[in-house]
Amino acid sequence: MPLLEIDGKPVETPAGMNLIEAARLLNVEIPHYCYHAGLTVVGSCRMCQVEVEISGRKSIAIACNTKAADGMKITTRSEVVHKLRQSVLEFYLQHHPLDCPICDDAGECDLQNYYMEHGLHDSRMPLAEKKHKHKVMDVGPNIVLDSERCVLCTRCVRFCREITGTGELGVFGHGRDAELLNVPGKILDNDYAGNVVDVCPVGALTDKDFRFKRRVWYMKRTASICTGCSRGCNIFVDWETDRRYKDPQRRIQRLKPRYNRLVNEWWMCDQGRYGYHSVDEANRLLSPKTKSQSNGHALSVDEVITKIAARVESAIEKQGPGSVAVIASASSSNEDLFLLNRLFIDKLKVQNIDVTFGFEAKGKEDELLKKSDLAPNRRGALELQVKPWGGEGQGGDDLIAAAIEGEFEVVIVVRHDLSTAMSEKDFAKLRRNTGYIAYLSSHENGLTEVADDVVPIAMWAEREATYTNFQGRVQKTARPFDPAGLAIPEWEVWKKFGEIAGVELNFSDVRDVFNAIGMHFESFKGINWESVGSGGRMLNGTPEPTYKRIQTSTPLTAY
Amino acid sequence: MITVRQVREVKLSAWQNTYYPELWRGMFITSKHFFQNFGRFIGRAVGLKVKRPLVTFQYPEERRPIAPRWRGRHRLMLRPDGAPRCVACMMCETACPDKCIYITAGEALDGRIEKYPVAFEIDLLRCCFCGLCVEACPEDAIRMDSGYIDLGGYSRAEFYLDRDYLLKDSALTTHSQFRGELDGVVVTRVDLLAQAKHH
Repeated sequence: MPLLEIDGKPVETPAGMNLIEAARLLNVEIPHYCYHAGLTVVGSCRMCQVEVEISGRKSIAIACNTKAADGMKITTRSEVVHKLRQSVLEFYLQHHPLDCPICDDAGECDLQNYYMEHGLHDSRMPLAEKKHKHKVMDVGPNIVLDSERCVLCTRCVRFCREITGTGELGVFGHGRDAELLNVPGKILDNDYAGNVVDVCPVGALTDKDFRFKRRVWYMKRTASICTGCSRGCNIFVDWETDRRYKDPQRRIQRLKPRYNRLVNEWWMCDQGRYGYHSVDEANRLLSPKTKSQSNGHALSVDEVITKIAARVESAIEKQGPGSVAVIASASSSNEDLFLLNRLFIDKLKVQNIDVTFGFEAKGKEDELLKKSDLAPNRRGALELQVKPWGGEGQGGDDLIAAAIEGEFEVVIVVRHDLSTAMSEKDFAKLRRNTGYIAYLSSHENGLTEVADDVVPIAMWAEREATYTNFQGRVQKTARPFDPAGLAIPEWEVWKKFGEIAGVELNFSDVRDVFNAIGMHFESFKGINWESVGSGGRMLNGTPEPTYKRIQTSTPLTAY
Repeated sequence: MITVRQVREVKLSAWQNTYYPELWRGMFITSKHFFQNFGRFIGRAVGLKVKRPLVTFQYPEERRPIAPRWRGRHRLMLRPDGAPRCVACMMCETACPDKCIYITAGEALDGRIEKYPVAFEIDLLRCCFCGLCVEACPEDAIRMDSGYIDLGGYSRAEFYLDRDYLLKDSALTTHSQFRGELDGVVVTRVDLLAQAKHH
């Protein structure tokens, strides 16, 4: 364990750690462009130069490629270092177009940030002699390249070679003609292409999806998780709701990956990154719907839930709990499934509940992040025992088949759009054979058209919730803004249902619900809302997975 | 805690209730100003160094000179090729303390500057004319006009200036003229500046 001194402060680092990481332990930032903790070190930008004194001898070294050693004395701020950085920055700004007003990265650009601190604010480069390169280049379906802004740090090149192993980008030419371009014949179209925008320290690579939508200083940032698949990548939700005149149908501006060593490291897939559009889609269900008489006045959510509860109660009274089926969803959060369990399985003794169905969409699984199971909380549903139906050899598909055959008087559907899940004939048969269909949905679809009562429910960005990913890690989503229209979170539907059905579910908020899970389920015992930190928390009895670098097994050789 | 202060109604005496004393007092003040001003005109005419008399301007036919430093309604500048100078960088929108500038950016695919304002709206009724937008602009695209003061209109909508309105060369047109409500009065900026200098 080397013990060294950074700016006069002693720090002990793990063996083999470089000076940039060592300085981070003391919250000292050493400016850098080409170094990224997730990529190999190339030491090309020379921005991270610091003064290193070892056994009385002083020298200049790049912090990214210098390992911390015992007895080192590092100076990150001095006249000499300042001068060095100033010279490096002058070199980078030599041919830079300085089009910050139209650059999407302005505000979070390392070139801007470091220049404010170290810059030589009087350019010695005559404007007419600036070298012009390509602007607004279409390098892939989601990415725009402005090679004038590029500082040739090759982070994106290394990302494509080392992490995805696809190698679409490269630097071509020498000296001032050097330029970042597509490798001939390749377009930047892999499942993780959006990450090159995150690794780019300047505004050279920008996201078509976010391009010119908002300035970065308008946005607010909330830590959350992606609910696109069962991995649950840690993300930041960048959102803005004040300036609705810009794009009324867009509350979330973009998603950015958030570092979590054991889940997604620094990355996220494009499917998750651009999946947020469904939150403000035009077909969001904003108000409840009913087929029965509503006396001409606008319907409230409570009224519809009352109708559902009354119908379920009367069916159970007349024909027993066997006449009710719940087609639940593994996309519901732990709290939703817990209340569903308490309400239907514990109290109403309804046994026809399942969460796993053959019709559920399967994603593409790869060795990096993507999981084929697109339901974010299947592990949670398993832990919360929302799967007691049928016993041996039977599953959700048999439940659906039984529903089509008309075995149930009342069918409650959560989230799943059954109209696309089965053939038209079967769907019509299901509708005909079932006395009453209640539906909880976030979007308008084929089933909202024909269901008897429909309750609008909030989506992941509109509510707080916890999800259990495939590893058994409980992670939290945040609530940056309120639900669209009259939508309410799913757990509130069950709470109100319980109040009407005479089942005591006295929870004031979602945190209460989550904290109560531990009282009923061993794997959640002792886990409360606060103890689920920003990086999530493993279920009881489930060990932390061993760390494995998220990287393709066939990386291209170091650049 | 709210403190309540009771204010007693002023009771007028019978003499005060006739209103004669107040009537005469008012007449006296009005006449005083009239004769004072009249005296100043006469004094100036005979060359005495008395205070400047008050003048009534027959607005809108006759206009008061405006100080050269006066800055009023906004306008957007054009490039020599006719495109707006504005690149929709949102600096003015960010700097605006009244949040009265609403810009929507778009992507130009015609080989010019790639970012341009699809919509650029200013709600003049919220504007406090502080000029921070002009100061913030890195492209010198937004300016505030000097030379005229009349910002009149019959509805709120008339004060909601859109991009095309702001892009018109508004230096020589007054607000009401642009709306086609007041014809026949053309006061150029040069005239106004000359007038201002003269005074």
